[in-house]
Parts: sequence; structure tokens; C-alpha cells
Amino acid sequence: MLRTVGRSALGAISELGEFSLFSLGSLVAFFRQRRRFHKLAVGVHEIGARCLAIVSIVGLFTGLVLGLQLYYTLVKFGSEGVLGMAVSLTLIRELGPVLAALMIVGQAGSALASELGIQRNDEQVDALYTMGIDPRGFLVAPRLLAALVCFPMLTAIFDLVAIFGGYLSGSVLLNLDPGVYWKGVFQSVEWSDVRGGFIKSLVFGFLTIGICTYRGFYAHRKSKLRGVRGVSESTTRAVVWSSVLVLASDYMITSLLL
Amino acid sequence: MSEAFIEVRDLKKHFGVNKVLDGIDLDLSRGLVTTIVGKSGMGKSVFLKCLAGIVEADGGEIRYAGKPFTLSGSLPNNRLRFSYMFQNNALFDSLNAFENVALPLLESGEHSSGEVRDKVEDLLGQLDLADSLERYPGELSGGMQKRVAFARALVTDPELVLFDEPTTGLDPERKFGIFDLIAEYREKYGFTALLVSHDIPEVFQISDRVAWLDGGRIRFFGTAEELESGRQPEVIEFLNKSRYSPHRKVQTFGGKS
Amino acid sequence: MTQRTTEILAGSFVCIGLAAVLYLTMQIGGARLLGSDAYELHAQFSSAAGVNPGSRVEIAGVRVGTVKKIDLNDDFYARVTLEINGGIELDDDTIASVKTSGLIGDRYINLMPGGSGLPLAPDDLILDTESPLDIEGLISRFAMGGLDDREN
Repeated sequence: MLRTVGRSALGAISELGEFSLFSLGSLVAFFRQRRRFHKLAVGVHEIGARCLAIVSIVGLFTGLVLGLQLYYTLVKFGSEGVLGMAVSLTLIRELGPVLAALMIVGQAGSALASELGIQRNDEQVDALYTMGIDPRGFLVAPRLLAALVCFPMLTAIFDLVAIFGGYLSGSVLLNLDPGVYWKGVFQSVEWSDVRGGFIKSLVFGFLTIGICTYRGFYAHRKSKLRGVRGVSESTTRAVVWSSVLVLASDYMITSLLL
Repeated sequence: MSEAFIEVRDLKKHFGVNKVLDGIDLDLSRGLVTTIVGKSGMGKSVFLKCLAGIVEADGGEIRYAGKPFTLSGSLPNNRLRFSYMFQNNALFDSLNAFENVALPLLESGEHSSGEVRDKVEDLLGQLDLADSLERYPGELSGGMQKRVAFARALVTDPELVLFDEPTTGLDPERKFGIFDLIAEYREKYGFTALLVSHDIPEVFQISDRVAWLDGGRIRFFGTAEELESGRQPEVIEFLNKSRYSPHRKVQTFGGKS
Repeated sequence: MTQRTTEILAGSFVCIGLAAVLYLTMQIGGARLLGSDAYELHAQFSSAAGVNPGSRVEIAGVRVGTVKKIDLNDDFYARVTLEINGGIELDDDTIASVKTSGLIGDRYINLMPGGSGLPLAPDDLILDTESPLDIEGLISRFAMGGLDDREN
């Protein structure tokens, strides 16, 4: 029992070190490469543009349901006037960064992990190496940098769409005065709330896309299974770990920021 | 013509307790086509990957043109113009045929995009792929994919080309087509080639030297005629088996075949 | 998908994303990235309980600034630094009071502009202040007072 705990703790620490070296090494390698702008654009397309729809849809429904639930709770205390504040602060501080990150992991992270796993399996990673192209700089770094660009943007879009969703359910479907709702939104949110949300989204972006690329890139080493099943296992692991780490690091950042 | 271009001394590699390479000694001469033959799972591909620096050897020394080549995982292309044609082609699915072949040139940054376009279109044209520049690997037939991979290996004007079973999965006619291409372009560009192949005796036609790898060592090295006229009983047994029983190959992860 | 399409889609996404980030930061978050013409005033209260840095400053229900920081002065009064938007000119008989929005809502600072004709300069102290209504104190006094009456 103790041995198992000790072994997994040591394993986790060495994994963490390897992960840090991997992501930093990728970024260093990237700046030695050519056609950086094009590669970054491809990454932004994969992680940003292709996640726009899902992030907006999930954002809208999150806002709608938040508006409903909070309205019925607040109305019991006669303070439905603070609905705008409650919705916008919940979203900007917590739900926006977390849910947007989880959606991006589902849409782009899983695709990245399996794509890299297949490329490893098909010797495409080795092929880059024999061509004198650092595979990490070519395959991993553009995605990591694109994540740092796209996560705050998608989070902002999620927040705005969801705040609009809260307006729809609070003021259009129910009978809260729209002016009261929007006053709550505009007057209660501070720059520090918005900044906290952006810090979270940057950390989530680096962690999740980092883990997904890391797992995919080393699919041959990280999985005991070979071939197609190895790729599917490493993809599953990548998505599970990314999601867990989003929630765990969210708690840590929140306690540091407050 | 026959100075030792690549010298391999006592190269070792094991996976767990399985000693795949147990002290390989081999000299490749400049400009010659050398073919490694042997049973499946005897480490022929592993040997090729050690040469390319993809797999790190456990011991031994590799010298390219007299200079030692460290097996530290640094990018080998800085040292020698070599290219590697993979068993499964390893083409990038998200790039079309033109982009796949142009990739090593564009990333090296030594050529203008106009030069790259001319060179790639010329080479693909010679390989009867002029109509397929814009097509993606998934839309090409197996033989066409091989030719794209062949073009990608040659487009950088390599001094050394490593071919890992270049004819896997092709019908006999296309097999000869690929062997003819290797012979033809060797004449044209004068590269040194190292092949791993199961196609005995077809591959002997283009091989200047044949090495027989068995039990982790090179057990025979010489010309194809010497191999075929040899009297070693194991060699005769191997040749007979290769000719008359279609070998089976197992696809493995990470290319440990 | 060609290189060109990918790059155009990526570019459009960045434009939309940047617009969202800017709107969230500037409009909703109220951050001023460019230099602002806001100025600071100070006010002393016997209690600033419930007021936090970032709390609103209002005149007649309209937001005119934020609380920047709160510290304790030598006489154990709460010294509140207010950041007032530029263009709002206040006279030196302005009254600052700590108010509550609703019965249990947020605390904010309300300003009642005076009419003395002597304007406050940046970094001046607002002399007239009203500390918040101590609801708990009122309730307990009411309850205790009731008890006292019965005993007498």
C-alpha cells in the first residue's frame, strides 16, 4: 500500500519534470523554425476558430440556466435585482474560464492528442526528425502558443454570450427589468474579476493543450498498449487529466487570487 | 569509389533482455547500394533507425565520412545530408503531395519559394505525379504514395538515403518500378543507399553489396552472387525460405520490426 | 482546406476574440488601459465596515468612481481613498456617506454635492461624512431597550 503511494508520487514528480522540459523545449525549438506565422495561424484555426461554435452554444445555455436558477433563488429573498451581478460575477470569475476550457479540451484537445498519437504511430514524428526539423517545435509549440492566444479569447466570448443568456432567461422569459439586470452587470464587475478570469484561462490553456500534446507525442512511451489501442488510451488519458487539472488548478488559483 | 563512407563498429541495442543488435560491424562504400536482408524481427529496421539517430544505440560507434557521429539525439541533419524513406511512407495527411515534398526544403530555409516550387514540380513530374500535386495522401494509391515518399527523400539532394522496406505492400509490377527508380536515381544523383528488404531475389538486381543480418550480427557481407553461391548451410536455408514462403510481417508500434 | 482559407479563418477568429476581450475588459470590467483623467479624494469615517476596494462611488444613484483603498488613520478612523472620474467637480461641503443598496446589499459610498462654490482639489479631504447605519446595533438596542422597560 505505502509502496504504491510512494511509487505513484515519485512517478508523478518525474512526469511533471518531463512535462515541463517538454513544453519549454518545444517553445525554444519553435523560435529556431521557419514559417512561424503560418504554423501559428494553423494552430489558432484548430484551437480557436473550430471551438468557437461549441463554446458559444455551451455559453448560451450556461447563461440561460444560471439566469433561471439564480432568479428563483434570489426571488425568495426579494433580491432578484442582483441577478445581473450574480450571473456576471459567477461567469467571469469561475464558470467562464472553467467551462470554456473543458469545451476546448473536448473539441481541440482530444483531436490534438489523437492526431499526434497517430503521427507518432505512423513514424511521421521520426520522419520530421530525419528531415532535420525538430518535431516538438513543428508539432507541439504552435499549438501551445495558439492555446495562449485562443483560451482568453474563447473565455471572453463564453462570458459575453452567457451574460446575454442570463439576460434572456431573467428579463425576457421572466420579468426582471432589463435595466436592473444590465446595471448589475456593468456596475458590479471590476477589472480585478476580469483579470482573474484571464489569468485562469491562460493557465488552463497551457496546462490542457500541453498535456494533450505531451500525451499524444509520447503515446508510444506512455501507454503499455501498442498501435491503435495505444493511441485511444493516450487520448482518453489526455482528456481525463486535462479536465481534472482544470478543476484542481482552478481551486488553487482562486485561493491565491482571493 | 570504394572508400569507407560509413563505418559501423560494434553497434549494440537491446529491448529488455532481447538483444536485437549484438555488435554490428559494417562498412558502406560511397556510391554503392547495400541491402540488408534477414528474417523478420531480426532488427534490420532498428539498425537503420540507429544509423539515422531515431533510435539511440546502447553502445558502439558510427562514423560518417570518418567523423564520429554521436548518438545523443541531436538533430543528425546538421551533420550529414541524409534522408530516410519509411516503411509506411510517413507522409503528412494534412499536406498535399506538393507540400509534403516541399516541406524539408521550405523548413531548411536555404531556398527561395520559387526555387522550391520549380524543384518539387520537376521531381514529381519525373515520377509521373504532375497531375497529383494538389491531392492529399489519402487520395493517392499505394504506389503513388510510395513515389511521393521517394520524391520527399530525394528532394534534398542527400548523400545517403536509407530505405526501410521501400516495396512493402506493392504488387510485383510496382515493386520493380520502385527498384528501377532507386537504380535510376542513384545513377543520376550518385547517392549512397542502404536498403532493408524482404524481396529476395528481386532486390539483388540493384544491390552492389548484400549483408545478411542474423542473431544480432552481420553473418555475411559481399555481393549478391557471392551470397547465392555461398555454401553456409544457414544462408542456403534462409534463401530457400525467403523464396518459397511468403513471409509474414507484423505491424508494430513505434517501428520495432 | 488550403493554407489561405486556414489563415483567413484564423484571422477572423482573432478579430472576434480580440473584440470580445476588449469589450469585457473595457466596458464590463471598467478598466482604463489608456491613461485616465480620474482624480483622488479622501474621506474619514468612524466605520467603513462592508466597504471594500472596488466598491462603487455614486452621486444620485449614478456611478462616478470607485473606492481605491481603505486604511486606518492615527485617530482610529477609517480613511477611504476615492477615485473620482474626471469631469466631476465637487465643492468642499460635499457630504460622503456609506450606504447599503437594499436591506442586505453591497455597501457603497454616496456623495451629496454641496454648493459652497469652493471646489475640492485632487487629494483633498471631504470633511462632512456619515458612517453607515449600524443595523445590528439598532436591533440590539431596540431589543435591550424593550427588556430594560419591562424590568423598570
